[in-house]
Amino acid sequence: MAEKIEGSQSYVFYMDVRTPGKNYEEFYKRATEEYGAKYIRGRVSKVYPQGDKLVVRGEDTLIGRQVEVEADMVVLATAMVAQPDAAEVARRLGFSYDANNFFTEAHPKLRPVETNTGGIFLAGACQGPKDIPDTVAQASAAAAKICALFSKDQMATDPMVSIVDESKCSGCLLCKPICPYKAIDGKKITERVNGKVLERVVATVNSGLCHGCGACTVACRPGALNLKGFSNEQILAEVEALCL
Amino acid sequence: MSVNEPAKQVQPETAEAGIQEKPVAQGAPAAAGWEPKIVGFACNWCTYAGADLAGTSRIAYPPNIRLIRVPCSGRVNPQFILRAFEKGADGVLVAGCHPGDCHYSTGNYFTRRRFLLTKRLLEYIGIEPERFHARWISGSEGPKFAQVAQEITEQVKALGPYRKPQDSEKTRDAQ
Ligand SMILES: Cc1cc2nc3c(=O)[nH]c(=O)nc-3n(C[C@H](O)[C@H](O)[C@H](O)COP(=O)(O)OP(=O)(O)OC[C@H]3O[C@@H](n4cnc5c(N)ncnc54)[C@H](O)[C@@H]3O)c2cc1C
Ligand code: SF4
Ligand code: SF4
Ligand code: FES
Repeated sequence: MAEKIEGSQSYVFYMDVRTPGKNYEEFYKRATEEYGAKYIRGRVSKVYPQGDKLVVRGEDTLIGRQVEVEADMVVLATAMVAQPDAAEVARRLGFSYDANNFFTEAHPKLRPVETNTGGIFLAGACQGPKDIPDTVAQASAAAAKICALFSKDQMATDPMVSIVDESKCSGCLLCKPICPYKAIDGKKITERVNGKVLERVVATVNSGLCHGCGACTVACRPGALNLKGFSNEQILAEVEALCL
Repeated sequence: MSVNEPAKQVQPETAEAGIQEKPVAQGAPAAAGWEPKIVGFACNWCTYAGADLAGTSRIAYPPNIRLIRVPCSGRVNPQFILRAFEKGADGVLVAGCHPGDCHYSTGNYFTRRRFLLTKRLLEYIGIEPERFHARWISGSEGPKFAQVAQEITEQVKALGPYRKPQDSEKTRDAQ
């Protein structure tokens, strides 16, 4: 302030001064030491007009006394909140958001710019309150991730997809309507049974469409469907281990 | 949940007191120091994240719940639930995204229908259906996860240890 308007004096009412990040402490020091900004620890109880000035009344909790500042301009530092429709956007696109409606990244340390939904990336204040340098860093990372995605001819997908054990599959196709991604279809196979060549229908999973939800595996009566990575055997082994 | 709502802290002392007040409903009188085993199936996208949040927010909840991560609550085969009881679990929780919020759109609708059927199946084979719960807990509901864990643990504690049919046969033979 003092840099822009010579001879001006600024007061900052605060509860805690936190200066995370590079050069922020130096910025705070410069404001107080070089430009003489006065930091008053305490909450403001009232702001009211008096003539052509605004009077800010608050308490200085460090000296335990009421203070009044006659000011030409009052700036209120309000909280940064998420867009009102943020939760709705996240729900429609199928990724998660936190208790304050900021979008959550797929992993706070290892996947900080991705969402849980493939192909959707996060940058900036939608993910949480942040300043411009952090916004730019995250946006650059997201852009790099997107470039990497487009630089390949083939897309790598999750290996956790459903597979059909054709020897167990009866061809009932009860699993087909369960799949939300229309990944299951019937196909004809030929088999030799007792010297005779037989043709029958079995289910087949399109691994490019399957998202690995596992809903179909439960619907299959003979247990022909299994989900790689979360197979029946693996989950049952976990159940048994936890019940020991 | 409101933004400013403080995370509920589960106080271990009050939790203990709450449990001791409740009579053991049925089954063998709980041996001193008995702690129920509860197997929880948590969907990767909501409840597992919610449980994580409970952890990172330092909210205490009973350690009786042991979680198994599944891609979606719709992955949980009733067979897994039966196996848990067979192997000595005293309670089972299946938890996923809120209806309409399933990462795979429809998985939890199957869960809901299977839950009702499974409850009846459990009743039929002689397992108190109160031992089996399904809940919707989103990734932002860490406090809710802790609260559900607390509630279910208390309910199962009140029911006492689950006795498998063969256990009760054994005690009958011994008499
Ligand atoms: C008053 C104030 C002062 C600040 N001063 C500083 C400072 O001095 N230094 C500093 O480093 N940082 C400062 N910040 C923080 C900085 O402004 C933010 O970190 C930065 O702007 C975040 O960039 P962003 O691209 O994430 O969001 P924004 O710049 O807000 O961009 C989001 C864009 O998305 C659009 N949008 C929103 N919803 C939708 C929708 N549903 N569909 C389509 N478009 C949509 C919006 O219109 C907007 O154009 C300040 C912030 C505020 C509020
Ligand atoms: S995989 Fe199972 S449900 Fe699907 S067609 Fe084969 S037997 Fe039927
Ligand atoms: S696992 Fe889910 S997405 Fe994959 S085939 Fe089965 S129902 Fe479809
Ligand atoms: S992904 Fe959570 S219930 Fe389906």
